[in-house]
Amino acid sequence: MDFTIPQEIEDFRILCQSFAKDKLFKEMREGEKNRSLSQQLATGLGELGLSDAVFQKTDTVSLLALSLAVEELAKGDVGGLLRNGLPGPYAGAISLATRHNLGDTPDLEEILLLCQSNRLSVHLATCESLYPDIPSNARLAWSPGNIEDFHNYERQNEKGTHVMVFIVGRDFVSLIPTDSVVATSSLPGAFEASGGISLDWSADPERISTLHSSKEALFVKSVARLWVSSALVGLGQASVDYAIEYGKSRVVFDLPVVSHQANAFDLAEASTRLQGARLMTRMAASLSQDEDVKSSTWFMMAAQAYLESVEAAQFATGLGLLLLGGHGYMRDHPVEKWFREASALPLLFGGQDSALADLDVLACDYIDPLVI
Amino acid sequence: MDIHISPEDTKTVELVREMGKEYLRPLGIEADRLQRAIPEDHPFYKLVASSGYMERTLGTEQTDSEKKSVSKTRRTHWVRNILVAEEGSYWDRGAMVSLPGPGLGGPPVDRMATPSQRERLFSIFRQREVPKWAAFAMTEPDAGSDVKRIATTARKEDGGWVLKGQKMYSSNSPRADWIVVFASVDLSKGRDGHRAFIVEKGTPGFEILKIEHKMGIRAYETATFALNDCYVDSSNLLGGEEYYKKDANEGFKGAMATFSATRPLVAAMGVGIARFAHDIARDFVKSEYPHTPLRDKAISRLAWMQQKLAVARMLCLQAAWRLDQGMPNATEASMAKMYAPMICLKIIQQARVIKGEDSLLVDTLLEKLERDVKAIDIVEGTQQIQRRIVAGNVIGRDLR
Ligand SMILES: Cc1cc2nc3c(=O)[nH]c(=O)nc-3n(C[C@H](O)[C@H](O)[C@H](O)COP(=O)(O)OP(=O)(O)OC[C@H]3O[C@@H](n4cnc5c(N)ncnc54)[C@H](O)[C@@H]3O)c2cc1C
Repeated sequence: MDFTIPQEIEDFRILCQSFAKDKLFKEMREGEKNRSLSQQLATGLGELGLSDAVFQKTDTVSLLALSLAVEELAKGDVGGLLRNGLPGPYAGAISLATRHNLGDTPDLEEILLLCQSNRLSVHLATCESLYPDIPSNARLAWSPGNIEDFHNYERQNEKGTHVMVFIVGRDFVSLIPTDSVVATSSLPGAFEASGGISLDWSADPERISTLHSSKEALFVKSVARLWVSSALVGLGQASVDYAIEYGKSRVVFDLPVVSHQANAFDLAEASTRLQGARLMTRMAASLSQDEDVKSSTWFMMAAQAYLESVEAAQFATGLGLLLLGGHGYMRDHPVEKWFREASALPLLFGGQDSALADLDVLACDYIDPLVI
Repeated sequence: MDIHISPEDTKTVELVREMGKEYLRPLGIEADRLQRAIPEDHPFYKLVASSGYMERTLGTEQTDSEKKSVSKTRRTHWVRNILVAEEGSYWDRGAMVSLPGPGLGGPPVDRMATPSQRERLFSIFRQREVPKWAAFAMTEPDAGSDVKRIATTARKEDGGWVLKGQKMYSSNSPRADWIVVFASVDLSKGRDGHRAFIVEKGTPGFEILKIEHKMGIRAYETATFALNDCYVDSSNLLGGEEYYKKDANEGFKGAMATFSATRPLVAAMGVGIARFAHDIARDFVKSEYPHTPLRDKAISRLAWMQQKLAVARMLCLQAAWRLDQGMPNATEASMAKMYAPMICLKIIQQARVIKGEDSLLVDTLLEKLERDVKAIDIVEGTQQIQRRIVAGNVIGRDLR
């Protein structure tokens, strides 16, 4: 057993950490006001090398690298990350599409280029909760981006596929032909800096490229869940760290806020929950590349890690805001942003009930890899 | 034990429901989108004033003799206020708090004012022509939970008082006709130096410094203001000098007693917000949720939400009922204020899980409700302050 992180992943994590701190975080507060992300920042995210780190080989996805990078970057701005930090939560879907030549997917090398140059827009809907069948005529309620950018991608589309819309169900993954997809409205909401759009599609079922496989469907969802899980741990940690710094200098009842035992205990709980969620996430991420581990095992761990992170991050961000008192409720401090994001993020890609449903299916055959 | 709601209270709640449907909800949503409070001169406020709403928030139990003699009578309408607070917040908590009336300024006046002050300050709410507001200002940049740290000073001068300092996060203060401002006559005395003053609109030296940019509940203004050597007449010392002779601590106690009335009220507002979130989720499950295995999970979540709402509501009502009976209720008030905000936040999060990705959209309102409800955990004493009070009471010892 070895809990150390490979040096190249650790180096990459540190790179992401400083990008998040020096660029993403600073610009995102402005972005929240303007509801846009500067082109420079978006390109900077692309050039960071996330896609290279994740797609080391054509047939695998390095989820550990993804997880560590996303944990750091989410502290900067999770909405921007969803939108421009490709391959992002869609890494599983993209890798599947390239492996199986789904639709007119470009090859991996081109995808990498598109990711880096910020010329790709990917969207992922899960449908098991709301649509019983492959929807040929449906809506993706929320996806990161704004309409203008979407149309730009569409225009570029004539030169190659730059917009990819995946739907993942219980036992299939589909790619919607891009010319059937329309972005209908701009939806500001929780991820204010990056904005949001709603996508409608209406496609001839024949033209939808579908891969029927419950295993691949679970793979796609598990990658997305680990992405969300990592981001949530990052948000939670950011909020706790901020509150600790604030609480060291703010005095209430003759003691710094953090020195009150009740608060220190809560911070201890938040940190422990986050650490548990982080370990689960990293374990699931590293098991995903272990050929001796059954895929159903790491799928379950990914769902467990995700559910654990939702609870941990919501606890941590709620606490972070609260520890600043009234100041935490004002937009002068970022804790309110992390609080909003920790609630919004788990709603994506099927949400908690979808993860629970997947766990229900697998539970009876589950073998914990660490139980000998 | 009788938990029936009186016909009179039912009628009041129904009136609030009408107002909520027609005005509070749409105005609250608009304020949230525009990130701006409902303007003071909005015709809706005139309508509210003309309906006699402002007077009703003073309590309808104004006896004839009180009206004549301006004597002080116990107000026994807190249970009704809880019901109203829940219903109003169901429609929109921000818009509800923005309504004209004494607001948080009412309870300290109610408790501490002399009969003539009470008459002077409350009489503006008995007329029905012009909407009027009042506000409460305790919090300062360096003193929120720990009110003994307030640094605003009051210096006696020329038959009145000169106030100097800064107050923060005072709700409705930019439009208030008068504000109850807590200040210290002697900083070295800590709580014993606290006095409550009335600062009226237009007082020279009063200056709004900042309207806060809040995460939610944007329909009313929360502001920071400066008191730059504001002179107020001696008749603006709440309760008069006599009041503080009984016990030097009386100013501080007055502020704390205010919380026994307002905490259950604020907690009930949380229940109202969460009840709306529950209803959104329930309507969705009933009418749109497909019959997949996930539907059962959604229904279990609804049942859990209903149970928790009932608990939170009972805690609020009991605390208010005790107040109506003249019984001590500080612990019960804090229990309500400790429990309701945290559970109501969880209820809204559950509703969002049921509604799924759709709840990211501003139109579904759930993301707004979540932003709104978090304030409940902070105003009128944070979660930790309530724990401190309840804990001190259950273990029989004051906590640090
Ligand atoms: C929307 C809104 C409206 C408001 N309206 C008004 C108003 O109308 N009038 C007014 O006067 N104020 C108002 N306030 C201010 C509010 O009452 C204060 O924000 C609140 O009392 C907390 O004070 P603070 O912000 O200074 O936090 P602090 O007191 O600095 O608290 C920081 C943290 O320390 C914790 N803490 C404090 N004491 C202890 C302890 N003993 N043990 C453990 N932890 C502790 C707190 O819970 C908090 O987590 C409003 C605030 C908001 C957000």
